[in-house]
Amino acid sequence: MEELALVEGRPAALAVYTGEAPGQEQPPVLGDLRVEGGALHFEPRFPFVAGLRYTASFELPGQPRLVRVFEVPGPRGDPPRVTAVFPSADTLPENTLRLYVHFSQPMEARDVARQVALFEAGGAEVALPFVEIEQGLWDANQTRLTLLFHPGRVKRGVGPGERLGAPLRAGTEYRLVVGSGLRNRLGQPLQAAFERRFQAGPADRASPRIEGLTFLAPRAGRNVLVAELPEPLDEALLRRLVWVEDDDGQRVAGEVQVAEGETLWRFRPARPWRPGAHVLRVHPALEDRAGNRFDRLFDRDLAALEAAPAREERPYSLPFRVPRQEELGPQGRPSNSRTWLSSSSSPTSRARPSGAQARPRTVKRLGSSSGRRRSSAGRARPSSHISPWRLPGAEPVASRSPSCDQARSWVSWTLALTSSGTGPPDGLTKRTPQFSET
Amino acid sequence: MRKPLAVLVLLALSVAAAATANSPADVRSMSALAFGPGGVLFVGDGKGGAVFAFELGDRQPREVKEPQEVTDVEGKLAALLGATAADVMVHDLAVDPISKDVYLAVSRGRAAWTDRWLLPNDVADASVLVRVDAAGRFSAVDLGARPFTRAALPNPVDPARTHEWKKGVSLRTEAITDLAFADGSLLVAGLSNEEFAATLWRVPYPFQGQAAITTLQSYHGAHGKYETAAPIRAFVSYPLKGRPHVLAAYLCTPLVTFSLADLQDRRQLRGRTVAEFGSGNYPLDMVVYRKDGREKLLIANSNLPLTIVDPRDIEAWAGEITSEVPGYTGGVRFEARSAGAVQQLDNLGEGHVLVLQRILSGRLDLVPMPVARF
Repeated sequence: MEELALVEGRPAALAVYTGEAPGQEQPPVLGDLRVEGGALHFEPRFPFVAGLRYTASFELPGQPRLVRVFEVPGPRGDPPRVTAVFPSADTLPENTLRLYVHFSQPMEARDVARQVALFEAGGAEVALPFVEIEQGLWDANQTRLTLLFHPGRVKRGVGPGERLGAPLRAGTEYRLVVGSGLRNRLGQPLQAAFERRFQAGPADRASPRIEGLTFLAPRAGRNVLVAELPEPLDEALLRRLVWVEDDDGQRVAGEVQVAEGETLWRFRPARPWRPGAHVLRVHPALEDRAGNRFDRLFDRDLAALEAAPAREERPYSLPFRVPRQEELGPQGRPSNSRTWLSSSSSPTSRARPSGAQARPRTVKRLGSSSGRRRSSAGRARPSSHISPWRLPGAEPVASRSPSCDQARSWVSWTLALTSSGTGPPDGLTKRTPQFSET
Repeated sequence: MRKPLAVLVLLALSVAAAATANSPADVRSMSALAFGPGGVLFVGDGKGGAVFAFELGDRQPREVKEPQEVTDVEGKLAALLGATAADVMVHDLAVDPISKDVYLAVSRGRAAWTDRWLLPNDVADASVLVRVDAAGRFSAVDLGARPFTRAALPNPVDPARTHEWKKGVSLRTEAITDLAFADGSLLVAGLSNEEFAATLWRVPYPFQGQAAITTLQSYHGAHGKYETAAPIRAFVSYPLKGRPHVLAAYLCTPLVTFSLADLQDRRQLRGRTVAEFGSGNYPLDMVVYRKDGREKLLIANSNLPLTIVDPRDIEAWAGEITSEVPGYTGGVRFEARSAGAVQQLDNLGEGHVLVLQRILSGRLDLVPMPVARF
């Protein structure tokens, strides 16, 4: 393979220009020329951008100039779409603090503020519902957008709320709209504008209680640990602030699912459970949908309190034991025969070291909902988590380090001028060249 | 026969010692550019934790006569990089003092911008060096084909450490924030892993021996605190009372002086804060220009107009800012000049300062400003 650098304005037989009518002074697109497989290839230094037009020009002395205008196809994958909005319930407390919008692909951050809007079902747009952040609050992958209701309007007795009122009012129906102008990192817009309707209900002004959390301990293998939550909790925090530790205090690796309107937390270990003591940890900073932590309300009447309660930073500990093989009953035992456990209401159970002396208390659950929960826990449901994104059909440019520039795409696209046979570039003069795109 | 052979061997050795390498320079990010003696181009590679000196081979002196504006720099870079103007980003600018060609460190990564307080180096790694000639023509410089020398910086900040208030940004993006050649050395500002992260490296040029590392403390009068973690954002070397100094500007926006003689290896050094220009502002670039025989300091800012300081005012003031200043400004006198949104600047001959300015339409232009207007 022979490499010819196409830099510093040196004339080259094959050159590519941005646009349909390149000006006289316009430099060619930066890239490399090489002869491979009997064809002269131009590989751009950065990927061509879908939707832009380019002009390829090939000219050898004494030969007519060959010009071809082309456009690269858009990303071959599906356009991005909204895959979920949390909280997922149809009715949300009127003091809901955050909405999470999940996308199927990493998105471009810019223009978020202009693309997201909240309307009353009657049509009127809710003014300034969210904290205005031009580029949005994204997770590291840029697949999850956090919309933070203006805390100064959600919290009572604070200036912005006094002037503008709370963003949501109980009894009103709302439409959250994500505009189709929002694009993924390849510049591909949403398939269509996304709309999610919900109703605002009464405010939630109570902290979730750890005593209300019950869980079904796993028995063996890669059995799922299922925790039923005291009320719908914050979806993103549930993925971070609830975890399982083994007897050595090591965090057990595995996959978390949040389901049933954020009332179920499910954990499947990456490797089979090790028999022995474990502990389910719940950090008190875990919040419900209205930002109330386990140990502290988001919005409390300071006048009614003698002193602010101390912030509890130690996690709650809910111990359980994975039985040894010989302790297990006959094979084929249904999973719902496992026992529901809960924390003791005694403060001594808090932050107990792993492998603590006390045995977990068995809780007999009453009421009709427990049966439903148990059966759903044992059922294999489709995963609600977002699968890692890959660009279908595209390969990274092998000879370059695309991470050097966080450009819009990593798609390699080579423009080749083909001729039959192999040989040095001058072999091309003997044949009629044609453009092809590879 | 013996003697010529020995000469050949010596020649071969000296070529090897020049370390110019048969393999092309591995520059991972062009964090900062500066010209040095004989028109050598210094490239600070923050990600690679090294500085490079490139021979550009273009030693044809040119006088600046009637320099022209170059409009729509991003549009022209976009044509070169096969992209849209909205995706290209200029990280630094330097004017070759001999050829007067303009060099830009460029990336195609603006789509990744997520926050107004990010700087280009936080968003992407500049990987293309672009030359703009006197006629306004743009071309990419193939650094792989240029002879170079390289010097590694001792203890550049660990890439695993993240920025305190820029979410998810590695501190390594600030390993090198600015460069200047002074007194036989390349001075490199940035962050290290030392107790005081703010660092000035002093790398003897031609590159040989170990670079000296001095870590810095400075008083920030806008919020009334000594800072050791904030890097210098822009600096020049300039003599005060006949002794070479570093005049360095920081975010929010103190101007601090350090004596070059005090830049001792593996020592901590406290600078003298001589001015506060205002809060909520990045000083982006700094040059010294001469008008009517008097030299002055010119600073480009992210959120303030061009700022001018007379170094003799710094010499004349023995004081130092060591307490919070009211209204975020204080210290020696400074003047504002009307030129908003100037992102980069450098001297263009004696009579002009070339600025990279975003005009009201949103277009980014290269504008030669006569020093007479300052």
